[in-house]
Amino acid sequence: MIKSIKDLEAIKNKMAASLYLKNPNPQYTVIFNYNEELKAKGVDFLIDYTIKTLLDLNRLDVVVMKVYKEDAKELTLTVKGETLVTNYEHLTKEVIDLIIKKHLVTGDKK
Amino acid sequence: MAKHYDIVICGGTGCMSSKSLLIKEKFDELLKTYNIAHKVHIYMSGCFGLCEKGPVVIIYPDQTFYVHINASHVEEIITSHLINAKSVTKLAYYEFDDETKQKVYKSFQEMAFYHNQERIALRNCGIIDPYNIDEYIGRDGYFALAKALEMKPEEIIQVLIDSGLRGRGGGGFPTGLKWQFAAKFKGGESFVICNADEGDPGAFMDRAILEGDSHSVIEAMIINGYAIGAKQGYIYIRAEYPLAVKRLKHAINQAYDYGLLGKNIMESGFDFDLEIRLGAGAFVCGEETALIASIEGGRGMPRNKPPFPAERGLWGRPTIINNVETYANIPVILLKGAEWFNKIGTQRSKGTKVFALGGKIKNTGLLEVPMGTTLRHVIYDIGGGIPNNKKFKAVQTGGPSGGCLTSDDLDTPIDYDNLIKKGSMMGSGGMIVMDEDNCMVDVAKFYMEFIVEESCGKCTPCREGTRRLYELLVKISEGNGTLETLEELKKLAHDVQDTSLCGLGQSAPNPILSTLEKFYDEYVEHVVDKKCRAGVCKALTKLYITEKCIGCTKCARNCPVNCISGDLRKLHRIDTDKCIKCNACLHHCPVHAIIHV
Repeated sequence: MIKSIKDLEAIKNKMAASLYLKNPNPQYTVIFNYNEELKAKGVDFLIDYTIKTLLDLNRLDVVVMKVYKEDAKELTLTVKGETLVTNYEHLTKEVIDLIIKKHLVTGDKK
Repeated sequence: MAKHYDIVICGGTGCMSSKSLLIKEKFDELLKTYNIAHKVHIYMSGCFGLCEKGPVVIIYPDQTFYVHINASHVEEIITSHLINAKSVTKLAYYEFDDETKQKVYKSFQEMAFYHNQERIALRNCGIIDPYNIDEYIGRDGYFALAKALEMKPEEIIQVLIDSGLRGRGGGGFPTGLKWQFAAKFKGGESFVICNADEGDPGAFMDRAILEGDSHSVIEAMIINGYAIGAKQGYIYIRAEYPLAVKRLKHAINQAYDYGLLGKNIMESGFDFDLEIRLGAGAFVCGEETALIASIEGGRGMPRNKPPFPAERGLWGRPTIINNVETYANIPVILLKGAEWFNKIGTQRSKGTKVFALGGKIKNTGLLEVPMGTTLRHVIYDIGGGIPNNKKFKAVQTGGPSGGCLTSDDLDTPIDYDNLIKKGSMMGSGGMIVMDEDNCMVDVAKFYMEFIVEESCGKCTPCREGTRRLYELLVKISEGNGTLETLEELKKLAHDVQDTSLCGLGQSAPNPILSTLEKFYDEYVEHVVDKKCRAGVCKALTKLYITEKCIGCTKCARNCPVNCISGDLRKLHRIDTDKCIKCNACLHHCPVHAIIHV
């Protein structure tokens, strides 16, 4: 039962996590390059980790997506902000933590 | 588990009739087979709008827009797109680059059809799951109600007056003023009605809103009830809209479950109940007094006004009737404010308007643009222009009550007043585009035949007059008319317009008067030259094969009555005595050698 605006806000907050993929204007878009070879190398766990970490931080203004790149030999990611596009490579969980902390949280370039 | 993708399948009536439910079932089955169901959120939404490309599937976050999808495509989308991040380009929407003429694949947001729109009434259609009230709340749903319940009723009405919102059902009466009239009648019961009896041929704006976003209408009706002191609302919807009815029922039940309908809504002390009333599909029941008669259990017939329903409506009590699109605007206006809404549109027509674009247009579908947008922008930039390199001839706005606009009107900003000045009207938003192959006499005949069928028969001018008008049009289209017939047609049209009881009869002659004014030469050709330039009026048409014929035999092979003869690579001939003028030969000729004479 909804008895007040607080009840509505609670539902809205709960739903934000399931609506964020459709966010038309994310603050940041994190793009992983991807192909069958990278998949075979087992890079999916890093992508899963990124998504999970961002959701745990309630960063619903960041959208994570994979884009096919046929000749990619290594998993890399690009962070697209409002004005800045930054590429990152040599990805590990620790590097991703750093990117999230330094770039997506504080807005620093690197 | 964090989701990687949202898959949204269009669940509007158009795509559902093209079996989009099978697409959903196939996705459900194969997502499990490939063990990725936990990474995907999949559901069916309301109408996306671009019906021409249906069934449509959108994949987020990359916003890939897959078109003309069927169940057999699903496995490839899963294995290629969802598993390997490689979109299936052969199924993806594309446009041609103007300069390079190369295909350019466009995401949902980049598509010309969508990025030229401004969606207020359609804000949630194609976005949320219509069966999930939480998704509506997730996009600010019912926050306007919460805000309204903190306001005084007169403050709510003032916001609407200040916003400049006018009724979207056709009349264009200021919504806030209408509410103010009803609110003046204190004491006793009053009612709120949503007019969802959308009957114009080719119009489906209201159906799409109810299928895709029922809660926006429910929320606005509760606010309406609070503002005028009504405790009971009705949604009058035609039974011909079963999907909209089903989703509406579901949404009403959810609203009751959440305490947003019923007693003591959000602990405000305000009670409001809402019921659905099914109509049998009579066009006249879109007229508010006929609609009220139908809800009361009587025959759907209009009565004289005044008194207007805001003073004496359902069961003789003050009643507000607004249409679906009008209601869908109201929660956003209350949340964002009158000033925000007032900035959109033109001086006297504020906000946006939803149109159902159909006829001879590439992008058939549903769109929403700010008032003041030109017809050219709607038809060419959003609608994609006229197919098959044909020439634009006219557009009918306002359905059978409206009129046609020609190429001279393409740069006219669309709003209530401009359309009336141009001899048409906004109506509820049907927009039928016609090209050089449409005969304007036939167009007038089509709408008049519709009105003859739909006249309730209560008043003589409409019951008898529209039938006589139709007979005159038949006479003209069969080559039996004269110039005097045209005069008779015009005079009778004015008589019906001036003397009919309700809006249906009063506006019924509009398509005739409009086409007579703008395409008089075509009428003259029919009665003097006994010719139909578009080749539509069969009695006035003969098909002829010109010297351009290359003797490919396609015409002969596609003729259903075998009336075309000729040797291979030789000029062919049509036996006009046998020809039934079906135009099959004309459509199959690869060199356009067949013409109407």
